[in-house]
Amino acid sequence: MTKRKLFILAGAAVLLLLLIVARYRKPASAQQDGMVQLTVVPFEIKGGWGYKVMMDNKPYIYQDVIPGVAGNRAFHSKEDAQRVGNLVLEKMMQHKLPAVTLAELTEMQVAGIQ
Amino acid sequence: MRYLKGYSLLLVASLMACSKSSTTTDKIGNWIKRSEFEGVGRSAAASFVIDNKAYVGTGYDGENRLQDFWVYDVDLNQWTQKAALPGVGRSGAVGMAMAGKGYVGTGYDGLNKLSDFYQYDPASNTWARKADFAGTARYGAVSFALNDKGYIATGYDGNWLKDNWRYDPASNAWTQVQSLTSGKRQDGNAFVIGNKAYVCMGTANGTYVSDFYAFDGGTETWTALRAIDNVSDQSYDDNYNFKGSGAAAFAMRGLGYIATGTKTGLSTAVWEYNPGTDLWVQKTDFEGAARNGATGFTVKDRGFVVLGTSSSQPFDNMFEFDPTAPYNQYD
Repeated sequence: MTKRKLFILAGAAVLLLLLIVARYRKPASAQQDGMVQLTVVPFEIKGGWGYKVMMDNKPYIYQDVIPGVAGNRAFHSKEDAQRVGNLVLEKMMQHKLPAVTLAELTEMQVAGIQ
Repeated sequence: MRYLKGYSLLLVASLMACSKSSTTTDKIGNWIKRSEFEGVGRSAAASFVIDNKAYVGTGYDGENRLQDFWVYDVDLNQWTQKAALPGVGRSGAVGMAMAGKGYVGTGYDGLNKLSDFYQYDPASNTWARKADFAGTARYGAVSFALNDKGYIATGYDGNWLKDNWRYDPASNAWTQVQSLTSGKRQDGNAFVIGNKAYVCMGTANGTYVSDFYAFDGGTETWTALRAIDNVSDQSYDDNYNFKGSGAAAFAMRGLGYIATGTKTGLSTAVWEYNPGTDLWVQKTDFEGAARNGATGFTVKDRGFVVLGTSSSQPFDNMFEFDPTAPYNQYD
């Protein structure tokens, strides 16, 4: 009985260790010389959502309003902010300007954009 | 058997925890070579500064003429995309700020020279079309604001120009004022110190212009200053070698600065103008790559040079110039 308990405990400990390693291990494409990491992070603002495009963990683009359109409106949902942020990141990866147009927002059916 | 059950339950639970942590992450990420990162990079952008924030937009990315507009926070080194200019995408437009509003007009869409003119309200993040520029449609003009009035001077409309026009935001009207006496040009620079705008640099007829003028906002007249070339018999200008086009200009702490641009080739040179002595001195070279069509601006009496392009690549990077600090290549 105590042997079993010990075995379970040991198994749990090993799993926990594996989990910790998996969680904190750097991604496979770890930092290389001359490489920068771009990441999209949504955040809550003014009763809505915005996104940050992080470059090496510092915000390069801080988007607290829907980009490219008139007015100071935030995104209605986190999902919309994330989707548009992802579009911006993809553009940067393709060496395109990170600017978003009204046509793109309409096509993506971003809430509040006609 | 019991321990096996417990073990497998634990395994399932841990797997679930694992998959949960990866599906709820808000991030998507990717890696890009720093040398290939262009960001909002472009040349020949229009810019203005309101409330210590620099607004930069339009320009040319090597492929398209642009409509997008961004605000740049110099303290946080981050960009926010604002409402796009409602007019066509363009390069070589001018920008200026008067009475808390930004203005952008003229430029080139790749086919046509432009004369449309727009006002930007930073509070509402909206653009409104204003009275068209009353001079000929043009690009590569210079602009400046004095006493909350805007001026657009020089440029290229098919010919090189030296005329000067005043915009009054209160009446939404243009008035032609005194032209430069000589020194027609495009892609020149203007910087404002006190109540005077200084106009220099630029090109006309395939030659870099050395004529240098100051425009007084009170009397609305031009005064010729010493040429920015080694043309006199005196020694003060023996080292002057910075005439060129597509440079970035800014003014801070009572002095004017010209950085980068095209001379015989792309340049990193920085020259400082002292209006008290009417003399220029060369400063430490710009730290980034030599470039053309960069944008210069001043925020909180700090001078910045952003964007621009080399022969092929638009640049994203930003540099602050501290004219008094000793050079430090590591900062």
